[in-house]
Order: sequence, then C-alpha cells, then structure tokens
Amino acid sequence: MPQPESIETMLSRLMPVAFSEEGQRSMDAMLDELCGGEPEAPPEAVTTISAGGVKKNLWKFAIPPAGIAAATALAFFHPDQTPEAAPSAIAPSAAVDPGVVVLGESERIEMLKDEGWLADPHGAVMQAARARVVGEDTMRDEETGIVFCVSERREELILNPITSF
Amino acid sequence: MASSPRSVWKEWLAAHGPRLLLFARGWSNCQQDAEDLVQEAVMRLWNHQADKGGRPPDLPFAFSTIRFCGLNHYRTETRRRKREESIIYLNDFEDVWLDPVMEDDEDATALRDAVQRLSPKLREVVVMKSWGGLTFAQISETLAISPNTAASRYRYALEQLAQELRQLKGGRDATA
Repeated sequence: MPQPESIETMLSRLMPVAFSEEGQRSMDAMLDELCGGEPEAPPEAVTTISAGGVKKNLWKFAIPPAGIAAATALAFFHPDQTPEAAPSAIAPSAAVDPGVVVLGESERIEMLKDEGWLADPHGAVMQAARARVVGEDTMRDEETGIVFCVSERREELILNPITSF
Repeated sequence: MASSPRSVWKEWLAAHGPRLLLFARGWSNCQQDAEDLVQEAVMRLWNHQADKGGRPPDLPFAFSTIRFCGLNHYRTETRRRKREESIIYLNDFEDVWLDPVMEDDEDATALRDAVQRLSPKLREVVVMKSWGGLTFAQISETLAISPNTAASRYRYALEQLAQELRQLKGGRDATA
C-alpha cells in the first residue's frame, strides 16, 4: 500500500514535459524582441569589463582589421592609450587537444555600439559601449594535416568611468 | 562579469521552463495553450522586473503570475464557451503533462494520470511543492492561503494519489 512518503518518491520520478520546439522558438523570439529585436549570436559569452581591465582589451581588439570606425570609437573612449601588439599567440591553449597545434589566434570587433551612460552599482557614471567580438583560432590536426578555423562570437559591455564633463 | 538580460532570462527559462509549463497546464487545454500562457506570463514578468534591474523573478512570483494569467484566460474562455456551446475540447492522448523517467512503469504512468485528475486546488499545491520546490510558506503566499491550508492540501493530495494507486493495484490483482 503506497504511503504518502513513497508517493513523494514516485512523484519525483515524473519529470515535467519540456517546451515543444515551436514553443521554445516562440519564447526565444519574444525574448529577442524584448531585448531589442536582434537575435542572439550563437553560443557566446557576455562579458562586462570595467575600467582598469578595459584598456588593454580595447586596443587588443582594435589592432586587427576591425575597421576604421571601430578604432575611432575606441580612441574616443581611451584617447590616452597607446596600442599594444596584436595578439598572435602560437602556444596551444590548455583546452586544445594534444594532437592539434594552434597556428594563430585573432580577434576582431564585428560591431561596436555606444550604449550611452550607465550608473554602476556604486552610483558612478560610466560610458558604456557594447562590442561584438569574433575570436578566430586557426589550428592544424597533426595526424591528418587538416588546417581548420574555429571562430567564437561574444558580446562585451565595456564600461569606462566618466571623470570629466 | 555580467551576462546580458537576454542570456540571463534564457538560462532562467531553461532551468524553470518545464515546471512553469507544468503549472500552466492546470489552466490550459493542451500543451500549446500552456506554452502560450507561460509566454504571456514571461512577458508580464519581464515588464514587471524591468524596474527591478531586469533580473528574472523568484519562482513563487512566476507561479503567481502564471496563475493570474490563467485566471484571466479561464474567465475569457468561460465567456467564450458559453457563446459556443457546441465546441467540445478533447485532449490528445499523447499530450501528457509529465514524463515518467523510467519507461514501462505502470505505476508511474498511473500516478501521472492521477496527478492530472486531481482537483485544481490540490494539483497546484502538488506541482509547486514537488516540481517547483517551493516551501509551504511560499505556496501560501502564491495562492493567498495559510501555510497550514497549503500543507493540508498537499497531504490530502498525496493521500488521494495513494488511494488511486491502491485501487489500480487492487484492480490488477483481481484480474490476474
């Protein structure tokens, strides 16, 4: 005879049904629309970089052929910075399979959009810019000799403190 | 490091979507209606949360909003049904609310059907407690009832489910 406790155990074996494919699509589309209409890029990390760490990354992204517009916009945010060398690390990263050699890494800004002023949690006014960055790693499979390119898109919200008006 | 609202909400939905959908089934005729109901609730929640930093809400509040949307739909539906008495709603036999984790488990399937047959008052407490992971205090806030009432309904629902399973087993033994 099932006791309430055993019924609870049995209930835990029942899983709620997930959204249908159509329902999921519809929900995603609604969220995309609520977020401003642009569909989300495929798996990407959305990163917020504040003040100090921004400067290095900004120039790193500005070096590759990202377009004059992006470089100009970046200069606007950091007029006192000097560009650093473009990243072209050859050493394979820890996540790469031992049989795969990294031939080159590059990053470029696909889109840079001024997001206006924002207040951080402490009330400081920040200039915000949203950048869509595309990172590309060129690799070679040692066994087959096949060279392939892995690209990853991510979005970064760059916050820069406003110190003068 | 922070994620965009879109990612945060999508992650939140990936984590809680099925349990919200299950709760919405109590107010819907089929899965598609339930999905529409959750979608409507999410849109309301989005607007509501915009003034609160744009973060997804707590689960009890989400249940509460689905219930509110469900009540609205129920009222609309009742009025509409009165106008169109000839329409008969039939549930698809494959249109289930819960999936038994273990296949070919007759008891699990029977329990699933029994949950669907519970009265709405009992079922919503069971759904919020068993699959929403809410406490009786949270359930009581969501349904505007006392925690004791929530606990009583839950106990009564479990007893009812146990009784249904007993009857089913009795029937099986009799035919064997």
